[in-house]
Amino acid sequence: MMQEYKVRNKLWPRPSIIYLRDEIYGPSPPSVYVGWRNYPKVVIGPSIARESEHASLYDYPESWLGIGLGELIKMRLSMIYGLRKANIEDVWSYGILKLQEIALSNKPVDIEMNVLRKGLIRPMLTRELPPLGPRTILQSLRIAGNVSLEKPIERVYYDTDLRANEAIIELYLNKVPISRIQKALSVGALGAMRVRKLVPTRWAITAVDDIISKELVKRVKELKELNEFLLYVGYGYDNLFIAILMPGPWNFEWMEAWFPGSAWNTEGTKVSIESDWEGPKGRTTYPSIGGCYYASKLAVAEHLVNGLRREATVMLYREIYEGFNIPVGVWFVREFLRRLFKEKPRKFSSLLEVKEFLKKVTRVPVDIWWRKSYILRNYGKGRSLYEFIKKEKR
Amino acid sequence: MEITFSDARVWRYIFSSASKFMDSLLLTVNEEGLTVKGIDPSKTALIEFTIPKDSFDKFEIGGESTVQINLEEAGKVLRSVERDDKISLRWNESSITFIFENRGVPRYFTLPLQTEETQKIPELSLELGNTFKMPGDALYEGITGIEGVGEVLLIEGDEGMLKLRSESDLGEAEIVFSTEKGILEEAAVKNPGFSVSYGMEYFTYLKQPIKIAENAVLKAESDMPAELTLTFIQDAKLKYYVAPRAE
Repeated sequence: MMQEYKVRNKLWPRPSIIYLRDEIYGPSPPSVYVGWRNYPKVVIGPSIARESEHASLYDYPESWLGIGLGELIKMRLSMIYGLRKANIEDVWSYGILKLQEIALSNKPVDIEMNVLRKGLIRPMLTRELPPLGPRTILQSLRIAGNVSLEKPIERVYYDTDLRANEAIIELYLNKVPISRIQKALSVGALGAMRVRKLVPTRWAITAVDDIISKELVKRVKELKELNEFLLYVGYGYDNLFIAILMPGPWNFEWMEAWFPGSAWNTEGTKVSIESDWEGPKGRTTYPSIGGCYYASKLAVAEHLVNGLRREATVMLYREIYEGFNIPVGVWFVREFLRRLFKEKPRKFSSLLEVKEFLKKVTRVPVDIWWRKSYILRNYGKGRSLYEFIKKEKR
Repeated sequence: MEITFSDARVWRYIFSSASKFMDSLLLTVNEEGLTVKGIDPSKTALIEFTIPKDSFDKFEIGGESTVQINLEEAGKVLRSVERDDKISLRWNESSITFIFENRGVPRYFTLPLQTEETQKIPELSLELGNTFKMPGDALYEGITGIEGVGEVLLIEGDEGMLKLRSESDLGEAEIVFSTEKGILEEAAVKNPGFSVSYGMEYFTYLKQPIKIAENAVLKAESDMPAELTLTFIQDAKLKYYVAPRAE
């Protein structure tokens, strides 16, 4: 049983001072956080969930859509993190090896943390990360329960010649959940021996989405092109998601429209629309729109490879309404889209028909966001050199 | 098989430009010389880089041979080319070695050859009535000047005049080259008043080779692909075709 702790300031979500007893005992979902500030001298440490029964749920984004965002935020903010300083190259030190054991487990692990009595670290809400509960300083750590490793994780962990990219793909192909691969990369458990490093959690999330989606896009480009227009529309949690899949080579765009009062437009008075895109060769720069770009790309590439088995030009659009006023992390985009792609799409024979249908769907007038989309405003305008081919002599 | 060319820089810029929008290139050698061809996945742009046999310092081939090079890897290797480097290529059925040499110190990079199905490059049949010749760096400046304005490049021409235009919500930009001002070295215009648009990015990709070209010859026609021929040292030539947009 976890010992009690008390939140003195109950003004959620920013309880400012948390008093803890010296020792905290309980299940880690498992979850290990690696900070990004002061990189390469970062902070790292495990967290403990508030309950034993559903502990694994506390750090398993793949199942969070089913529990509601309010409940999720409460759950996440109730976790306690014990953090200590580490250099990113310390992956072979005894303390980090112990953290790797915890992070790689596929079941919750009972741990005992000895922490400083006073901790003054607020919960953290960012665009990339799931909400992080209060954090305090970790003095010592003991693994009290059993650690259980899945075969594919065990294989790549002990293969110190395998490059991190290859390990990530291998884990994905072996159906290891994305969130578990992200944890493994973050705690420095993947890659060739000499180059294994701790990777801040928020960077690891994006890196894994990026590496897997790149691999999937390679496979997408080997498939036959889609021969109709498919439209997926999903609404939930004060968000509207639209996916337009069009005949054509792989081109991808992710666009977000943040309404005033939503998480990233709290002070604004106008809807803020941003987008980023890539052609068949992908991007060479980080998209200004952030990690959601890679999370959404992974979801749609996965659907093209495993679901439709077709290559397509893809435009994804999201409207974020006033009620969605707390950032919850990029997992939300990935998992929402994965769920959306399980639904049956509407079929159209032209992009014009798609546009006509969407006039009744989006709150931002369709002409406005359509014009801002690189892919939509240019779709069908590029001609092929094959129209100008030399005719063979008979 | 081994061939050596005196200026690796031309290769570097062409391969690195092509790697921005193509996946692979087909390299063919025969008794006439070398040809490197590639087309982008959306079939909008095609490149054809040729060097005649006599322009090589060394040209030892045992008959015609074609290999497919992965541009992602080759592009990275060619990035290490330095000023005054010579380039040599050696290949067999499974791998290709790039050798860069400067002041007698060779650097070797060996890459596996692509074994997937060889891409098919179409032979184009174009009748383009309007031809403009100018120094490579002038065309480079022209593209650089307007590329940030819009994503469409409009090419228009008249007697003794070539206009590059771009417009968007940001505004409008226009560059005029003319024989009168001396920038256009030649202008043969059969259809004055022609106008055609292309994706701006396809010209932006080629900026580096354009910049180092001795001269650039642009052929264009309403509703037809553009043909850009860049001439480099020792008669090395790059022909570049871009399909027009359907506005």
